Amino acid sequence: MSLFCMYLFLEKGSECAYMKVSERLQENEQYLRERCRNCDDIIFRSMKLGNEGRIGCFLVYIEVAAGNELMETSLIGRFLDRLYDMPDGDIREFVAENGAGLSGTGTFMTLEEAEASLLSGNAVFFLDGYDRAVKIASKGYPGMGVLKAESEKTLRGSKEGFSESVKVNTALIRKRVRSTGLKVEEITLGVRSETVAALVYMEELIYPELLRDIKRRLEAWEIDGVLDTGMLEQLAEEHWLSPFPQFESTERPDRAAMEALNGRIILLCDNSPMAVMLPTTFNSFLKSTEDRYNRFEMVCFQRLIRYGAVLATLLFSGLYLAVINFHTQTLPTNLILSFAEARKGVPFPSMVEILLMELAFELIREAGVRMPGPLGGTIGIVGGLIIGDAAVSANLVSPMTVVVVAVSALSSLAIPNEEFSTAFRLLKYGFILLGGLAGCFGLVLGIFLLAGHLSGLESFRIPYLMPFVGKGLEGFHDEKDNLLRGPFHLLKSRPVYARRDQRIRMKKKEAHDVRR
Amino acid sequence: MFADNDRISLRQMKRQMVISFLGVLLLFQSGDTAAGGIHAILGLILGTLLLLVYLFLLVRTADVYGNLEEYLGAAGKWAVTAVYLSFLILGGSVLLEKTVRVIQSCLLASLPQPVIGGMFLAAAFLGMGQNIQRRGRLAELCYPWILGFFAVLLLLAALHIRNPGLENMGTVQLGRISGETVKVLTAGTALCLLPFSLVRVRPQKKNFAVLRRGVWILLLFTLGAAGILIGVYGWEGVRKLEYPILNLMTGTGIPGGFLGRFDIIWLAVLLFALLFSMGSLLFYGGRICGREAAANCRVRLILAAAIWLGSFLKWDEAALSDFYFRLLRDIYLPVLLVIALLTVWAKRRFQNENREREKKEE
Repeated sequence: MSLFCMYLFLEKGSECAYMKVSERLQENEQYLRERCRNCDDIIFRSMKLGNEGRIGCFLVYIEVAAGNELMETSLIGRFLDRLYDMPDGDIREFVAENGAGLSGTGTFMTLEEAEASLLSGNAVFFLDGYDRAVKIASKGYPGMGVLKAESEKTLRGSKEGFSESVKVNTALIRKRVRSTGLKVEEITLGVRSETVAALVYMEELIYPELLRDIKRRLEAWEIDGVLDTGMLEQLAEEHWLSPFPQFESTERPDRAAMEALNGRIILLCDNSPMAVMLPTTFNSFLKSTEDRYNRFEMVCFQRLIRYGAVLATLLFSGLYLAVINFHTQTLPTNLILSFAEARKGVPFPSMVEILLMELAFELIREAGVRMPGPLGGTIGIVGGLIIGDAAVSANLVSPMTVVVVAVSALSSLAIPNEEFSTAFRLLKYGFILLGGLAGCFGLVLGIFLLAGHLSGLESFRIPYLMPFVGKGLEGFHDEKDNLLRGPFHLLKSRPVYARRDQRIRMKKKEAHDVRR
Repeated sequence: MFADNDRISLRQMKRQMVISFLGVLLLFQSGDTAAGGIHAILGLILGTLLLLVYLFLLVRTADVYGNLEEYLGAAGKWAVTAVYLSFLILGGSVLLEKTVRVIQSCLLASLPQPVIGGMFLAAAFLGMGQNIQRRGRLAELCYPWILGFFAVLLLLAALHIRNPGLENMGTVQLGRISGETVKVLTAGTALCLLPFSLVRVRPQKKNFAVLRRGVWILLLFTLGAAGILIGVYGWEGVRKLEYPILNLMTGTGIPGGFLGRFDIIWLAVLLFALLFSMGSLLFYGGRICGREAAANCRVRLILAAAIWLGSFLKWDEAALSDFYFRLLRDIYLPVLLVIALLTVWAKRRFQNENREREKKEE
């Protein structure tokens, strides 16, 4: 058994030890064929090059990623055509010096690197007598192109959304921040999936310890496969018991670019159209991308609406129960009588009514997401109007209950970030129980618990409730874009995420500079 | 970055102090002050000035409280810890007992007192936690809302001021003023807990000045509430009410008639402040027992259980709250003052020893 075969069976976990690319073509081919046994989508193409046809080579690629047409018409095809006609003695030197001037090439010293590049969708070329493998970039795996941002709709601003390719996504951010200060660090995660993830950040704006921290957290796990940024989020978050997300997700490149300029790190993952931004705060989830594009009066109004929506989602149903069960004296007499009249004949206690309607709404919402195409929207309308109306007519619930649940549900839809609104949708049930069983006392206990929890929450050492807290701490400053947004010309500072010496992002030019 | 080192800002420290005391002062002290008339008002002002002196001592010797064993020895540390823990348990039990009675009478008559007490304690225990930064942020977040709501309550109530009946208060007597001053000092003994947090404050400059502002805010609210109570109910009327502030809340609303009653809102804010106070007692229980105990929730759990049981304690049909004030005035007030003086002596001795050691080394 040759030394080569012995190397094949050396194990380090389930992997072989690193194998240098051999000068002998047959050894390289044997290794790769063994590794790619029963992978019928991986094509091996052996050829003889040189005008005398004596130099052996082979090209290995994934059929759909590289494509057969590439062999004839494109980069790889032209490359091979040159080599066919070349004198045998010149071929190795030509390949070593990239004489064809191919873009996107690179060489590998080990077979593991060659294999990883192959699996990333590139073609890999081996030449007899040459101890390197050559990567030839191809179009890569099939994927959806640049998408429209579906879940973060805005009236103003770009409509582009991230695609499923990490390369395309980093390019979409680079398109908006054309600076070499924007760094893109690629890391490979997933033992079997070898998924490429990218950390995108402005080097001079971030805290270096933040970058170290996120890398440490990502590399702390050995996992089979990483298929979406959601998995990375859950692996890297510190307070995993909390329903509140500690990373903010976005499918908009303009939002990601804006946050990179704010001193945050953007985490992208191949095959995922969602980017994840860190660190994050409570307030950042209630900002929309177009908050920067619109006038400050409108933005302030919308922000107050969103904060009101948060409170309504969380408390409205519980408050209704507390008032009608324990504190009816709070309401004007006419209203109490009207509630009592509306509830006549309803067989269930009010808490059961509210819970039933809330769960029914969640079912309708889930069905609307799963149903294909136009049916999804129709289900929402059918469910909301017809079922709600039928339930009232059948005396199963009172009309007031439908109103309360509808307001609570609409409020949850007004929260810009879906993950963030999910936390409130879940906590709402706790407040329904507290309000229904213990009235206002229960609600106050719940609010205290929630406020305490949020006060203790941190995202990468940034308190979750910043900038509402932390004012006396060293390095704190107010970016004037919190509950309300100041006029645009006053938004001169970056938020707390950015390094302390890089807080100024805008300043007025001197008069003589303007004239020039 | 901002949450690296278990420290809070002076602003957070001040806000914690104000919220911890505000609910208790409004519920109990404001009514007592109003019922005591001019003597109680003067006693409150005088007592506050004396408490500021006490606060000054505590601020100056905060590092002693942070390192009791080093300054007072093991025996001294355990003695001080025992005094403080018993203080917390007694104070917590009385606060819980009174709060539960208020909740049952105003908000929730259907649940039994032990259940209400258990829920209240559980929320205070879980909501406050044992991390000083969490407590600081909670105080910083809630401060403007709590003070804002109470300020609105007092302003709206002030619209109902009529003849206060001050002429019935009688002549001013120094003896009665001094009695009221002692009452205020007794009520202010809870300031003794502050040094255990002060060691975690950054930066360590202007501590006293900032905390003094907090004391003035508390005085302003208490005096304001007392004055408005006298103005609204008259001095004779206030003396007949158990918790006059609750009656004030029942009668105060925002004009417009869109709600039948507003007391639910005021009570909710008061309850929140009382939850913060109870959570603070549990928090300090952990802190007093040392750094490791602070990180370990066992101490707070035991403390919470003791407080819950203590709230049911009766001695010859008398609840703990019936003789709590006498215990505070006759035992804890002098003992805590002695401890404060002891810490000053210990700090001075420690500094002298360090100076001598440095001289010898030179």
